[in-house]
This record gives sequence, structure tokens and C-alpha cells, in this order.
Amino acid sequence: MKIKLALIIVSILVASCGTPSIPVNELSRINSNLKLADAKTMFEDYFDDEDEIVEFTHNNKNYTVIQFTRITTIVKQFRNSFAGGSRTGGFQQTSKSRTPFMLVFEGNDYMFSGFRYEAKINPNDEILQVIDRATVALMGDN
Amino acid sequence: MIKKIILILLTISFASCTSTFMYQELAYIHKDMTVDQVADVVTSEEFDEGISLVNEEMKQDLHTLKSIPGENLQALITLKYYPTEEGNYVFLFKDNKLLYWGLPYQISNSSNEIVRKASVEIATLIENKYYED
Repeated sequence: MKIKLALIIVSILVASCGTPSIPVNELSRINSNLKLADAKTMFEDYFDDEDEIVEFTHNNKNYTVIQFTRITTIVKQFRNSFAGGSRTGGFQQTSKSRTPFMLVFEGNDYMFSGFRYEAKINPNDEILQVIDRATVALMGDN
Repeated sequence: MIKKIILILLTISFASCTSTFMYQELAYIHKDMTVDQVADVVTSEEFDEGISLVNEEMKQDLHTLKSIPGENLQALITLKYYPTEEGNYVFLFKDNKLLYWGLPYQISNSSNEIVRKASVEIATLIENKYYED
């Protein structure tokens, strides 16, 4: 019993480690005049310097992409337990969907922020190309 | 087994109803609406669960933007509710007609240069109104 309890506590601690997801009110600070250096300071709590920022050149232009995580859906389900065909009780299970949210700079200047689908519907094709390239690079780092 | 299937189907149908409700509200908003028309929709019962803050006179929520000379711009800054948090939502008007609406970061992404420029003053307004001590 004690071992089980210890395992649960360790699992919770491991799950809670890592960078926190960025809350929606922090995203209100994003504007078209935002500079890369300011963004790094402003959002330092929400991304990992080593794993969630990538720099590369695309079409002879230098880009920096910072990746945050946003919780986009929370589903609470009550699950019943059955034993021998009869209901014995139940528990509530909460599942959260985490989605990458990108902040893109061309040089030091703001270019785009949002989810991948928002890059896809943006009329500037280069944004999606940059997001796709950053995604591949960030996945390679993990 | 049948009970389980019914329970799963009920859960899925309930989840799909609640998740689409927030987005259905925005279907009432369309381009070129006046400030009063947008305020009427936002304060109507259909918006109770989604967007709020627009008071009767709108004086606290409606801001005239001064950073872009020659453009008659106003921003209606409201709050939008999510399952576990709340964030700002903005309606941007030019000459009293709705030009753009969305989350502040989405305004920064607009291909319309005026909207994109307006995002700077909107971010400052939000910072001063909601987050400055």
C-alpha cells in the first residue's frame, strides 16, 4: 500500500514538472510591435530555453520560433466501475488536451503567433512554411 | 455492456453540445455591424456563457484608439470565458463599423495593416485596464 502511494506521489510530481502551459490572458500582451528580446523576457516562465525555441534560416531570412503549450480542451467524465455485472462505484476522470502555440519572429521583429491551424488560414504562405519547419526541428530536439 | 455503450454515447453527445456552444455565439457577429449592434448581441442572453463586460453605456469597455492618425478607430474590449480561465476578446471598429474581432494576438496577425498596427495600442489598453496593479 505504501509503495503504491509513493508511486502515485512520484507520478504526480513527474507530471507536474516541465514548463507550465501559457494562460490566455498572457497572450493578450502579444502585439505586432513585440520584439524577440522582449518576448523572451516576457514569457520566460512558459518555455524551455533548450527544448522550446528554435532558430533557422528560410528563404534567406532568419527566423526564431518559440513554442508554448496551451490547454485547449478539458473533458471531465464520470466513469462507473462494474464488478461481477453490478455497479460498485465510480470516479471522475479529467483529461486535458495540450496544443503547441507558436510565437514567430523574423529577425528581431514579430511575424505571427498562434496555433498551426491559424498559420494555415493566414494568407501569408511563408508563415505556415516557417511553422512546419520549426515543428520538425522542435520534434527532433525532444 | 449496453449500459456502458449508452453511457459513452450520452457523454459524447453532452460533451459535443457544451463545446460547440461557445463558438455558436460568434455566429451572431458579422462585419460592418455598428458598435450598438455588437453590444446588443454581446449583452443578449445568447452570450451569457461566453462574452461579457459590455455594460449599458459601454463607456468602460469602448476605447478610442489614438495611435494611428487619420483613422477613426474604436476598440470594444471584453472578456471571454473558457472552461478554466478568462481572457480578453476585442471588437475593432473603423468609422463605427466592425472591421475585425478576435483574441488580441489574432489582431496582431491580421493581413490588414491598420488592424495589425492597432494591436499595439490594444495590448497597452488591456495591460493598463486588467493587469496593472
